[in-house]
Amino acid sequence: MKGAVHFVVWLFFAFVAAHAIASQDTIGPDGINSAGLTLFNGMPLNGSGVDIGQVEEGRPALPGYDSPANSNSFVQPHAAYIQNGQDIKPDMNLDAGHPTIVAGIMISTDNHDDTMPPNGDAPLGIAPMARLTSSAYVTAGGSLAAYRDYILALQFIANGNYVNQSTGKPKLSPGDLLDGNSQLTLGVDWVAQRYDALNVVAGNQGQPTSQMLPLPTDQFNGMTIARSQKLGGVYRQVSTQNNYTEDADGERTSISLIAPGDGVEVAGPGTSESIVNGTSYAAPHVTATAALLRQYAEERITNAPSALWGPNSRHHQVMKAVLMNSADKMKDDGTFIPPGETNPIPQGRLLGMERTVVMQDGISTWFNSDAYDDSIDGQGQFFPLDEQMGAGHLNAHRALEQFRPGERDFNAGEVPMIGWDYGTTSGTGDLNANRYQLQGNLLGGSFVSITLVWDRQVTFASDTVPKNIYNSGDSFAPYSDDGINPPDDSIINDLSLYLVEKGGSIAQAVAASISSVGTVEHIFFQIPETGGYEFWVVQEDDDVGSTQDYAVAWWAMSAGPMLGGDFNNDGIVNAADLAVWQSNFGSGSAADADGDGDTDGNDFAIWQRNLGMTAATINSAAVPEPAALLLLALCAPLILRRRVAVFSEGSLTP
Amino acid sequence: MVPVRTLAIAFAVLAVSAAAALADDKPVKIPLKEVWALNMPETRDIRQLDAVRNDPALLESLRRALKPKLDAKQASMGFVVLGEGNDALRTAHEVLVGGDKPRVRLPAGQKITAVFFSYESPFYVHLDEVIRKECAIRITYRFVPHETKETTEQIALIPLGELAAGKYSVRVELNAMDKKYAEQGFSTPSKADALRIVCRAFHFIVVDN
Repeated sequence: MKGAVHFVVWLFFAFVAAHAIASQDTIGPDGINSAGLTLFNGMPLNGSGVDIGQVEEGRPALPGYDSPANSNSFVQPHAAYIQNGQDIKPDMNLDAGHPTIVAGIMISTDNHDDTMPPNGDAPLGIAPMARLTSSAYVTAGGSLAAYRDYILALQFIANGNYVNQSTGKPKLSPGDLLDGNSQLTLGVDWVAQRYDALNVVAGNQGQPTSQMLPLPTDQFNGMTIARSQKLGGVYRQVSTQNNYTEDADGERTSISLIAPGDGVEVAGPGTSESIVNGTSYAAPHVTATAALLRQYAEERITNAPSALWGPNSRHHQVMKAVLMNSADKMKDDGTFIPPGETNPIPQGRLLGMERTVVMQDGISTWFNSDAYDDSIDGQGQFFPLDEQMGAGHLNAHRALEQFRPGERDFNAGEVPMIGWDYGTTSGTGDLNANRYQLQGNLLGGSFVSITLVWDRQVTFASDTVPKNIYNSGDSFAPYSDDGINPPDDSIINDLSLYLVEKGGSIAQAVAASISSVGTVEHIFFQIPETGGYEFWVVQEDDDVGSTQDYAVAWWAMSAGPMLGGDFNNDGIVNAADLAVWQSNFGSGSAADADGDGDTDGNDFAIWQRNLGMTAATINSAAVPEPAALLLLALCAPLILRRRVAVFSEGSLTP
Repeated sequence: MVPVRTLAIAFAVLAVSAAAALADDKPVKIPLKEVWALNMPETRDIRQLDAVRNDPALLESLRRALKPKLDAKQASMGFVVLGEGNDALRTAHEVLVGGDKPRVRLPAGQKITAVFFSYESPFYVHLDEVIRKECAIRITYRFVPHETKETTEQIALIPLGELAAGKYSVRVELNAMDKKYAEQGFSTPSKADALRIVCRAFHFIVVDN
């Protein structure tokens, strides 16, 4: 009975959610595809129970506290503070509504399209039930005092939190390098490591080079987000408004991901809705998606604690690796033709990616990027990320696919095709490498994606009492920068990634990511031949410690077994396959999942077991999509009726 | 003999004419509170125009049209339209969104509105003042930085009223950024930046019917 009630409640939420989100612009399939995601138990993912943060010059308005003209009843932050916990005053520090709009992208509950053109683009938030706490800094501009206040505000809400920062600061001097050495960037990275906070920072944009707010976009430990714009109705082009003239100095690139930031429909102050532009609005898409993943993890940790689901799933490095590794690069629909090739990449080989991302010129793709060609002879191994798009376009649906298998420790045996791990290196050199052996064979011609992230270490130059807390007057120790290719790797333990044929050595690696200037490695590589593979996490040096914590996420495609139940061979087990089974039931072998030469109830059972799975997930121990469960629930009467009808003919036994 | 009374009247007429002529020479300041604008302080919110309230897409499509091209070195010129308020906005929409060529010749005796705009950028562009002296119109503005990572575009409908026949020139001039922003570390945009972001100077002619 309890289960039935549960199901009805779930069905209600699924129905309501589907109606509330069906036409969403930036959170639907043409956006980040976060709408309709569900927990393991099928309940909607909405950020419930998850804390997220927001830091900028102002704070969002609080309905019932600030005036109705300034607040929006659909945007209900949990709390708002000034700086490090000072009380707010009504209608002050609202910064022209910007913080309210940013908050709305994350937590708006508005699913009505009242005041905008009737296009159905209601400004519903990505994680409307998340608890948003805001902390506004009080000093504008670029000065040491302004940097101090920013860090104080961030520290106040950072603990274990995912913090959106749709803001930025000028450099102290125009000639300062963007090398992560400013007191602000040092402070932001220190907060990440000290409080295990995921800092999501809006990237640079706009044409005038004289008005950049580049700090702390040169951070190492968080994520810097550029904005995407629509192309053909889909958010998949790097916005022409992003500005890369103030990218991180040297070979390091600043951008982690792109997300919708162009023509974003939002809930504003009062009852207004409007369309806005900016990386300000791209960043909260990422922050709120992280909140959805956190909610998924918390439910698993509570209800199914295991080696797969524990505290490690909360680490900011894990979120960063998962979000980046699951980003879209090329649409996996069998139409993408790589430059110089004549044939498209067959469907199912591009890990189920949902859009082809193009650069600012509207044409170039990942294949034209410096970051492409991670083969052992390619230049891409030195450039983990693309300057414009980072790892690609945020996709919440794929991020959940990436996250759902749970933590997979390399010490526990072979790992599934999709997974992630929070690990620690055990020293330098190949012999100490952490080796992740992938279960089964990888399909030749398919792509594999692997992302490795870790923190740089930031220490105090001056740490007043109370120690190990940032106090006014404290300062951080910059590193010595030769200015040639900053940063030199003395501030990080340098890690590398290698893809190796199973049982091989680094000397026999087929692909690698071996940049020495940042704290991200990323391989996106086409498997040359079907076979067994493993990837290695190698610590190259020990500049800041003999071991190094890291997170790694991976996604590969299995060469087998065949995806049972995928009767139409489109790479996914769904209702279309059921139709094939029904039309062949008892009369042919076109829906023969068990290989016994007929189409019968056993084949249906295999279809049922794999419902919702894709070719890429078959070996990942993933569970069926809740949407597929809904489909099954809706189809059940039809299936039963069909089966009863067939069985009544007496030709088969149930 | 000319009667004294006649002389007095003639003198009075001359005096009034002279005063009127002097008045024409004096600069006329157009109050910002009479300007319909988007994202500009002291002006009237353009979103309160009936044309926008009844059809929000009108303004949104206009805003979308103010997206700069990646390689554009300079913005388009400002322009004038017939009418004020709602009518002016609709005509401005036809130019900026519909691609209509703005009118250069306009009839005397009808209300005219100057359309000032700036493309999407990481600055606010705020009008400082609009002054007309005879056939010369000067629009001054300033850039205002903000620490939010948003980009904004601005548009202002500046009512010029009924203008006498003549050849008019409209100058668009950049004022210095407030000192406080420089003290906070914000750089003043270059002239090249301004040229790309803000509509350029333009001319128009008013002719007698």
